[in-house]
Amino acid sequence: MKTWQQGLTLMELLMAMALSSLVASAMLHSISWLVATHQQQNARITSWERELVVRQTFQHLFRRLSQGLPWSSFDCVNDPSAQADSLLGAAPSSLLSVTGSDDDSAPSRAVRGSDVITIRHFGCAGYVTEQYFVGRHSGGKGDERFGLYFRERRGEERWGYSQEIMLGLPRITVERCESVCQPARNVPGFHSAEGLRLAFHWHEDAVLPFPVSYLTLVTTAARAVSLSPGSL
Amino acid sequence: MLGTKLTGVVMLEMLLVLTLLASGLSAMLKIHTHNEVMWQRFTNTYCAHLKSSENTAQSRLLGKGIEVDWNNDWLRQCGIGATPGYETP
Repeated sequence: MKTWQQGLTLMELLMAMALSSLVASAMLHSISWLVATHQQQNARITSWERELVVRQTFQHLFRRLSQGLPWSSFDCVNDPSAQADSLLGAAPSSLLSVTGSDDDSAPSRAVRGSDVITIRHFGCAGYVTEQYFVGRHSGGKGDERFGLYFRERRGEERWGYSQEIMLGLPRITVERCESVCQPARNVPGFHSAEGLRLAFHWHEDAVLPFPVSYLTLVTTAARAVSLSPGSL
Repeated sequence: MLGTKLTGVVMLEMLLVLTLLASGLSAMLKIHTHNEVMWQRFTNTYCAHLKSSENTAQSRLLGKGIEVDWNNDWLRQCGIGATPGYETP
């Protein structure tokens, strides 16, 4: 058998090379598997977090409503909201920084074609804690373009920083419960409802065991007198 | 003599490599199992919460005399088996 310079046979050298390749390939596969696992876990957590955030936020809003605190809501208008439009046109799953609107006391407007939601949530005692939701009807072109945005505005300054996070909801539908629960086209008047049933339609890539999740909200018996938004 | 010694070294290296691969595979399996178990635990808890919460709200609506004609079928797949979108390596 031919012997190499240092005493290795050709067979041994080939075996060593094969082993090195095997080790290198195994390491590469392990790394890619770990990355994929990490991404998968992230996707799972993100999907469930979104479910939880949406659920908790609407529960909170409705609790305020059932306690007689204002849940100010506005009819859809035909004028498109430039900010909402620009946000809705943004890439999915992106975290966006946005600037406040020129008039902080003005309601955020529903985008054209929205059947459900633009909600402005006033904080108590006049300090600014606002949560806006801008929804859009999924009946338009390209559902993926539509989404729900949650804006959290913090800070003592009138023009505190704000950011909007796309939650990945292509559509929300609302049923208003009186003697039965029926689809509701407009947000106003919910303060007199006995309950609501909201359906959250999730994007297909959401790692959830259901494509649509529901939230049933019931008003409490001790409902206080509703305040008008202008009273704040 | 030298050749025999080198062959021995190569064999030892092979053994080490195989051990390394086996421990790597074992670690991956452990990570996978841990992830799945923890995830299953989380989804079971969350789904149980969803079911309980929805059932309670539904009962309260029924108690108010509101006709509730839906069932909670959307929760059928919730908390049982793996969530979609996951591929076992």
